[in-house]
Amino acid sequence: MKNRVNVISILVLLITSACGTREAKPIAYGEAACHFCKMTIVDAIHGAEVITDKGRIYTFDALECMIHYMKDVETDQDFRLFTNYYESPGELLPVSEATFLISENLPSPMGANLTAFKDSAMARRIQTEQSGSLYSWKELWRRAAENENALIP
Amino acid sequence: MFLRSLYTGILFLFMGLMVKAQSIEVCSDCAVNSLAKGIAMAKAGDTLLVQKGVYKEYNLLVDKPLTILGKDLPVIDGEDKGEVIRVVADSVEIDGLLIRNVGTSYTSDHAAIRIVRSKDFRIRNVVLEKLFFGIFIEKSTHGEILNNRISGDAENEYSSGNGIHLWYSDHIRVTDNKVEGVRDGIYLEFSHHVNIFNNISTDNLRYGLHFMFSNNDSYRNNVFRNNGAGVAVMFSKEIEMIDNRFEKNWGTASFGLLLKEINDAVIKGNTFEQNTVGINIEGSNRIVYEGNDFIRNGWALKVLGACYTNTFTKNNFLSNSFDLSYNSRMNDNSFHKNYWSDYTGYDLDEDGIGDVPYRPVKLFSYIVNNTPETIILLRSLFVDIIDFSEKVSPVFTPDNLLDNAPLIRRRK
Repeated sequence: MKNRVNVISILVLLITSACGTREAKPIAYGEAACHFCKMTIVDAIHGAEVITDKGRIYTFDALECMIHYMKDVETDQDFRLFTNYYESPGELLPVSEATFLISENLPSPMGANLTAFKDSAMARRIQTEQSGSLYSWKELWRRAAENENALIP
Repeated sequence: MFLRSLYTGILFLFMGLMVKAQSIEVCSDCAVNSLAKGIAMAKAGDTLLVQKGVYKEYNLLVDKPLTILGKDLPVIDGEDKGEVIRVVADSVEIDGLLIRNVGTSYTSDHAAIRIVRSKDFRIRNVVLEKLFFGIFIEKSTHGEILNNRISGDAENEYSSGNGIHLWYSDHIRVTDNKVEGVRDGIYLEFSHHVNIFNNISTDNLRYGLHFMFSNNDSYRNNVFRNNGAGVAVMFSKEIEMIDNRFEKNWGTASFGLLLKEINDAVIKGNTFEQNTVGINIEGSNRIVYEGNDFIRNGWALKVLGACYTNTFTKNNFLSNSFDLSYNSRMNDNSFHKNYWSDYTGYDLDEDGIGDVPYRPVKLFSYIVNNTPETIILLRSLFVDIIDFSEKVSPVFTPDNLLDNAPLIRRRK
């Protein structure tokens, strides 16, 4: 009986530890391939990551690839979306906390010229330097959802 | 009166043309001891003759038509401070320099040589070492990039750029260059009518050659070896890929050639040898594959997603683990007169063409697509049995996916 309790507790432990914590996992630049376009991910300020409701992690070489992927899956499940951002290469930030700049003078890997910023003041400063327009995640998503060819060069 | 001033005008014009292009010598103990001084002194059309030596300079701006000619490979050392040479004028020629220590930055793509909004440029016999980006061509046209040696020491992608980078640049010739140890050897984005001939691109972190959104380009007689992920041609139309070699691109995300959203291309006379996947084909239509050799690859061809009206003729498939894999049950591509080393049919009428069709897709390749771990069963008897049963009566593989006229002998 005691044995069985032990076995069960070990199993429970294993199962819970196997469940992802759904925290963003650093992208393996140079090794991981983009889940959408298959390109090897190398750009540490334009990468992105999706964690699905089941804890599965998909990485993308560019925000625009993540957006195209999200349009394809059409899910209302609780997916968590993260993006790299301009200020600190390699770090991931929830998309809802980021400000996005589309500027022809800041190319991104898949041609949408889309860059994320953590600090909206920084985003505005770069916008005055490089021109372009700013979006919140909601605005960006609406733009992509309304127009089939948005974010495609 | 008017006529007279016209004559004077013409006279002055001729005098202007007659002023001979000067040659300015730059050396460490000359009066002109730096390129910056030389460029400032020079008039349009002059030649800057740079003698052997080490010049510690960066952010050099060439804003008039000039020829910068190095004698015995002088060294321009950027000391990791930023961009080395930026050209913003037409008709600039840079010949025979060694440029090293280009500054690395996350936010600016510093290059050894950057050409901006100019035409008729020529960069040749240049050697680049310890670089970030090598030769960066931005919104420029009608140029030549010839016989350069670019060797990076890129270890991670953070601190590496591309060897030859073309962005919104048309009508460029990239010939006889050797690129190694950078992120992408040769990279094209929004660049059309570019010819890439006789280059060798090896040991790069990501791709030997990479096309994005570029149309009507051609690459021939190049060698792409041992790159992180092979060569990628993506989102482009009417690309010619002829007589190239794609070798030794091994790894889970590696391909000889990755095609994604490519239409109306020609892939002829290439050799794909020892790659994890010879050609990975996704969403690509109306492509002619003719006379290619696929030798000892894991997969010679991997077709994913919707690919329509592609034709495969006169190719040699030699000792690949899988000749072809599909992930869909329908087929709109045709295979005709290829040589398949796995073909076990016969040729009773001796016309050189097998009398029974060949089915290039093995059932096992579907299983591996779904569950990659099953690959360890590749050489097992069980797998041979299911492949054989599928060959005899196809259930899972597309019924019309076959070569009706497989060659008996290898095409020479």
